Amino acid sequence: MKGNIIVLLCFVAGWTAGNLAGVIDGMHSLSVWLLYLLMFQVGLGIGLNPDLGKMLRSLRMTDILLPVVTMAGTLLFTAAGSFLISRWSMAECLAVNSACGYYSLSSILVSQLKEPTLGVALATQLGTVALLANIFRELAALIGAPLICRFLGPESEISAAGVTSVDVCLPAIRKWCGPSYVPSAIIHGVLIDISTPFFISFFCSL
Amino acid sequence: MIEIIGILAAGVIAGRFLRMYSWPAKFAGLVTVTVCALIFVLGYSVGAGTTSGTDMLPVVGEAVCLTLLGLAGSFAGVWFLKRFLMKKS
Repeated sequence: MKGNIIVLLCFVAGWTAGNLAGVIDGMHSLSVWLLYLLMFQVGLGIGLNPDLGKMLRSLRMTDILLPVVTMAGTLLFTAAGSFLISRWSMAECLAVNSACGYYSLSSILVSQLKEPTLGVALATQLGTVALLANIFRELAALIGAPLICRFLGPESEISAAGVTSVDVCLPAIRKWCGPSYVPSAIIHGVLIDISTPFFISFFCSL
Repeated sequence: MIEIIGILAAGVIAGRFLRMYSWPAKFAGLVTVTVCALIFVLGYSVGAGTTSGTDMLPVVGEAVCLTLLGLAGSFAGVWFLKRFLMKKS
């Protein structure tokens, strides 16, 4: 829990700093390099595990089905609950949530693809909704990992993490769900990562 | 996407070859520091974006609503998987 509070404090500190200092050039490249470093560290951690071969051999059919139910459940509930958000259509809500935590890509794609139909101002606002909704999803999966794992099970934590189950949330999944769920989390993240651009483009075109 | 998976794979391969040393484990253990730095940068991007004068309150409300719908859908999907598909397999 201490680690999660530190993560939350980091977000608040970053938000405050960003609010005070404004946009700085190179912030995007810094985040990309930090993500690369994180990926290398995660990979190193996996490679150092002496039971890696055993882990891969234990992959089950459910590991393949997990990303399918994550995407289907997310889209179904978003479609059913989209009436709660009066400003955006069902297709726009689906475009935002089909990213499953992929905040960087979703915010850019949604803003650009909706600009011709919504105009610059509204498309930017929808892009900001996409950014925040997917950041919140990632934060919920990161901070809520111990509770989700305990009360809903490891598969729910992987599903909640969405696309980030392969990168940012992987250490939390490893810690709270156990190393045996790492291959499942990687497959889940990779498959959702591949499908996300197609879903966003499709829902933006409706 | 390809870079991300490539770097992850490079880390796994490096880990397989460096298992006899103790320092790679220490370096891999610094993952929390990297996550904190990433979250800080993420918060910075959101904070820097809110100074543009847009009214953020409805945007945040809509984002929270969509997050909750997405999470609820994911949990329902996992429940369905466990209830109907995992039992069969």
